[in-house]
Amino acid sequence: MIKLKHLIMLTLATLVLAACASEATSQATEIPPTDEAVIATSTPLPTLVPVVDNCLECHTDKDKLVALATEGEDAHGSESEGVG
Amino acid sequence: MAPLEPWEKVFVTRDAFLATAHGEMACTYCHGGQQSSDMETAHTGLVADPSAGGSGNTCTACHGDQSEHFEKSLHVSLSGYWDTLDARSAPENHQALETMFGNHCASCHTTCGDCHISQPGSVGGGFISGHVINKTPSMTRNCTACHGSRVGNEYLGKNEEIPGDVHFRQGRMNCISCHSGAEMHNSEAACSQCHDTSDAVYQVTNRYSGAQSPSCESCHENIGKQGDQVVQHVLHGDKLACQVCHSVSYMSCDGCHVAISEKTGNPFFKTERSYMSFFIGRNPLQNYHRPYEYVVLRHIPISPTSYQYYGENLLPNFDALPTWAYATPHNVQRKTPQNASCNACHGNPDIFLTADKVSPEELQANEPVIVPEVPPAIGAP
Repeated sequence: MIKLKHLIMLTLATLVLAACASEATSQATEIPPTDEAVIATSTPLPTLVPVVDNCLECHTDKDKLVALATEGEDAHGSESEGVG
Repeated sequence: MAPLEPWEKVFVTRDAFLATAHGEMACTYCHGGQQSSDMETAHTGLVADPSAGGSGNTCTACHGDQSEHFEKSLHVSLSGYWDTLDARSAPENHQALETMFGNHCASCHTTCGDCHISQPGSVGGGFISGHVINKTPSMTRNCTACHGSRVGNEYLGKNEEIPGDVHFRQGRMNCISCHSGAEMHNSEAACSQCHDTSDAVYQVTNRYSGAQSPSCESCHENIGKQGDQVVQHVLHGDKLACQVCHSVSYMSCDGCHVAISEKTGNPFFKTERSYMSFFIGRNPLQNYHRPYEYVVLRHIPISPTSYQYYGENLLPNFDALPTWAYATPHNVQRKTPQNASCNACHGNPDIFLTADKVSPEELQANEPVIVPEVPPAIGAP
């Protein structure tokens, strides 16, 4: 009876270990190697760019800027004459 | 230089900028504002130029070594202007002049970004390389964008029939070849670590005070010294500034006046006249570092009524400083009309600032620089 219990426990342990090994292998193959490289070379800085940066979304969109950007005030004024 | 279109001024080149160290930071880290797809919300609390504000600006957090003394650099303090304003004015006029200065001169204050990211505000601003931060400023889009009408045009040979500076034509040198980052960042302030800077010799309040930096001798080390094959260098020694023999005609200006437009409310200036000139005069700033008896002089556009818009008689001590100012034209040539022969200069009244060439109302102001007697021709009886 004791031998039977040991046999059942050994079988269960083998099955659990086999399942874990299979999961670990599948996880490893799911991570693209390029992501690893990005993580490895990035420098820790105070605030990293968020996944979606609204500022960049707009300021890298020429069409949007053409539509929205307005002329600022001329520092020297358009009425200036002669050599400054 | 043509101004950028409004969209170009704020266009960020995504790939180039994100590939840099600064591209790894969120925009809001430097510029404030908020992450939002709504423009108004995103721009709430925005700091357009986070590099403004001297020692407390955003750049100093990481670039402390460059910015340690930057606040006292002439590019930031513009203290040279106040040197001359204070000398010509009186304490009771200081407030009116401060208002004038804020309206008309403040845009010339240089921030880190004005040299490393954008064109200066005085030429309309805007990113130079899509917000990529350039370690080395652009000669034409940063340096001569401000220093263009005189230094830039002289150096690049843009004045009609006047060749560009030999250092540009032959040496292809740009501004930073002589004007180092240390000079721009005022790192020479570290002089105080060894020298007693309370000594007048080491005090720097304008670009012609303190040690010459850069000086021609920084590269041309043997000029006037043992082994110099040019006999004129040895003969003249420290009596002449280098430009006296090696500069050619340069720009002078008269009568600049400033005001605020009634139509737009914007500040503007009007300069009455600008013209090419070359005059040798007496050195008004003769000192340990500038022992020359003669220098070249440029007429600066100051007038007793330049700031009249802000009050009457704001420059009661107008005669305290010459209007023909010590100049260092950036159009150096090896061969010039005045060094063609001894008597191209000696005995030649055309190239010396004598009293007859100065307007009567400016005679007193220019007394320290007017040449009373032209050096006689060599071999003259």
